[in-house]
Amino acid sequence: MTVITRPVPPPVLEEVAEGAVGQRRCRHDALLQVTGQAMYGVDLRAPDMLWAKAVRSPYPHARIVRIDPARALSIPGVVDVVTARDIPYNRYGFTHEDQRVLADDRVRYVGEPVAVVAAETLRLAAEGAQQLIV
Amino acid sequence: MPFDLRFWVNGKEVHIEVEPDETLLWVLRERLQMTGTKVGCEAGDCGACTVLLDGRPVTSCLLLAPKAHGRHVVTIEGLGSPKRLHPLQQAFIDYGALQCGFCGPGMLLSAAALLAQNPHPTEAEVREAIAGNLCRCTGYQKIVQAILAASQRASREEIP
Repeated sequence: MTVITRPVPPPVLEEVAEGAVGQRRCRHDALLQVTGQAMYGVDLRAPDMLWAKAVRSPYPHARIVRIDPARALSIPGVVDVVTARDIPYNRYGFTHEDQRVLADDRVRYVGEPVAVVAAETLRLAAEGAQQLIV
Repeated sequence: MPFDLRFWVNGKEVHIEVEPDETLLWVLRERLQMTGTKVGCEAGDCGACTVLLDGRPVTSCLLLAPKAHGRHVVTIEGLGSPKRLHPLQQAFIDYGALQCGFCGPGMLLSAAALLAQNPHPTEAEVREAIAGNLCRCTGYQKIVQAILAASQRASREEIP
């Protein structure tokens, strides 16, 4: 298992000299980006990392009556099922905190995340997501 | 039943057992730990996972790994190195054809396939070649400029 690899620190930009305005500058991470070495969230790896799969709404508008994780959790290798109830403050947003991390009482669009299944492999997480009863 | 996959990645022979339903993208990123190839939509729409298969750009998220058996794959890690950049990579830096950079590896490989087959493309040909690569920062103008610049630069270098 590879330990989290951090990106190589960006080269320090030269001191901004007088007359810097109008000069061409290249991005400090440009070299990492064009060579595929730039690390994004999805590229990070940690020891004993779990894989997660979101369970998403197939409906544009519906009430969530009940979520039963028992069957998903019974699969060996499935570690946890997270729903809105597990999130102490289930709101976020850029200018208004009107978005839910996970849908709570209802879903409002097709594809809205309802629950997240964590498992030892992506395959198991996907299986757990399929077995989740909502 | 595991599949005995033997293929070439960036010129190096790779021999690895994979499940038959694993994608080439998965094998590159998770089994070979080469995360330069990006995972985007996993539906063949965004082009972030573009690699070259025998020189032709393919979306590796849609290609089952066993399909690469016996074939040559080029990923962004094989396009150039930080010390010796491919002309396209240098042009992307010079023209600022990068913002978040996530579409970069796929863009660069689509562009490399174009220039290999058509060293002096028109702007329309460049745009067509990268039509399958989405840039959500919408930096297309600079990307097109960079690819055209790289093609011109390459042609200048050909002249002794």
